[in-house]
Amino acid sequence: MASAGSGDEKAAAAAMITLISSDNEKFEVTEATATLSQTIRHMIEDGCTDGGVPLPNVTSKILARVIEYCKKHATAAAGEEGSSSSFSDAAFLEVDRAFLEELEEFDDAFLEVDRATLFDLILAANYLDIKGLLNLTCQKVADSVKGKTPEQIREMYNIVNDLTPEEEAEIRRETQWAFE
Amino acid sequence: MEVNPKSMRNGIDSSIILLLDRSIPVFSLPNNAMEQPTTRSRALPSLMEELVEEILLHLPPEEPPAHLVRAAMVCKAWCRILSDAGFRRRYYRFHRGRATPTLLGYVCGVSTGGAGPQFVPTTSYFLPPPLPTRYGYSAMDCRHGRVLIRVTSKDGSPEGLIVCSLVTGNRQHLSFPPNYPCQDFCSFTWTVLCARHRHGCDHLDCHGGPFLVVYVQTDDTVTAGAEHRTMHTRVSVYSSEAGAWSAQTCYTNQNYYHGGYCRKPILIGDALYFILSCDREVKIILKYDLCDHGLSVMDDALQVFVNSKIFLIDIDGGLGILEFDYYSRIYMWSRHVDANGVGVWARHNNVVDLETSIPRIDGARSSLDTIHFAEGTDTILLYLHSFGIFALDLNSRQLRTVNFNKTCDDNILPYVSFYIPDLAKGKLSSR
Repeated sequence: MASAGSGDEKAAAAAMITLISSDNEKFEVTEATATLSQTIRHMIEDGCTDGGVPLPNVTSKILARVIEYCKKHATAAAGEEGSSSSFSDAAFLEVDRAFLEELEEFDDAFLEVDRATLFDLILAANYLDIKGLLNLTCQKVADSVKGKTPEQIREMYNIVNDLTPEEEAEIRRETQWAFE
Repeated sequence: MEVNPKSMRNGIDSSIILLLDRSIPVFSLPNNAMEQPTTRSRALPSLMEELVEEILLHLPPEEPPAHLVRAAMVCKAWCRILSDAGFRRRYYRFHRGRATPTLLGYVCGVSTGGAGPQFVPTTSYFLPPPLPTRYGYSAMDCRHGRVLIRVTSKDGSPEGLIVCSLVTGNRQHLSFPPNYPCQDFCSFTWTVLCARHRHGCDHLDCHGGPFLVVYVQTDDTVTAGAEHRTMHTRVSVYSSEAGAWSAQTCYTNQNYYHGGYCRKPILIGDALYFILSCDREVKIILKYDLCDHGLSVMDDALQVFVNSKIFLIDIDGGLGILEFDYYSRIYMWSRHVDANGVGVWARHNNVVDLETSIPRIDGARSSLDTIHFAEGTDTILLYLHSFGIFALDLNSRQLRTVNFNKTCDDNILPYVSFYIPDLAKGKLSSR
């Protein structure tokens, strides 16, 4: 079992996976970190990770961020597993809460990125099939849309309004309450 | 951690290559964009539509669903996503637990002056297409987005039934069952429901789909050769798929009661339950199983309720009773089966005392006062003849006024649904 410490884990070399970004940068990660991605998990199960996993759709900048997320969350998962057997219930709950708080703080800080990066993270999370990251990033965008007028949303995300005035009038007529 | 060696021999799985290939155009940014990251916001449409849908799915559920409506006004693609029935279904599932069906209004069976049925909203945002109104139209039941209307001609002779969608306004006509109207003194009640209900339909998008109409009739007849009058309860079901009424299922009560009548059923699971009021003292609960069409006596030990009006409700998926006593107090009862297999009713605390909740009520109870349970919620609509219509939350015991105007008879049919606006009536979703 790969230990779940921080930093590079040369000691667990047997369970290391090499990820190769679109700009050909190589990232060594533990299998526990890599398998937060269902896409990579399946590749490992199918035994096609020898010589590294090429990820032609993810740049090194984004991949570095994704790995940062996976490391943190894999650590948290391993920490929870380990702690349940070695602490009393109360201590476990305490540790558990501390973990969750720390994880939440990490997630908040992680999302402090510009929109282009946020979208790239969404695309990468979708492609790599990392449910937690996809939920986190989509929630961030949804929160920014929440409570805004259609005009504000368009401006914020550079969206062209292609609804015809008739269509707009029709929706508005039926849902006037939402704009009051 | 061991790498599973089972498929090492396969080399690279072709499905993964496919996955990679298909996704490439979506992820590739133009080279210049990579080198000169711009602070100008990138357009959301550059994300695949399925990812925009994923984002919109994360908009928090609220009542009314204003976030969704405003988002639909952003552009065609967003409107298309949000008005798609599949999205509504996914949104409901995603927020299940946080989003519950809401009492959106009620259908008033016949408006004052015989003007036919009318939908009365209890929220500001759900405004369904108008119901067919004509002299002689009366709403008989309302469930799963459908309203059942009985049509009687000007001279009072029966014409037929209409099932009308509260979402699309579509109408379907059907004939009465062969035994309607009954010749002898009798009472009857109607139920409409989605035909897929017992197959687990969540009723988010079934409004145009197949439906069932259940007709329950209680009459007293002298069967040929019988020595005394007996009371019969007959049930038949119309299936829109078969386009025909089923054969009758009949329950015979050997005791004869003059003026016995059947009350409006409630749907719990795959069965309809209704009270058969034989006389003031004898009340029976009948169960009609929608799967095997069996009609059976569920309970005939309701003497405890002699001095009260009782109404069936659903308590956590089980049968319950609301007792409305002479002193304007409402109690909740739940039923459990004892060791001998006998149903036992247990009274919960007093839910509400109307005399203290509605200051002016002061004992002025009318025999017309009724309770209408909004299936799928913990809410009831109280029709108090002298005061108007009130909604009572059975959990919080909060009572709110719904309508002071008495423009409606006592036949009020609560309409409950999980509401996400069908923007532009789904017209954009096909473009």
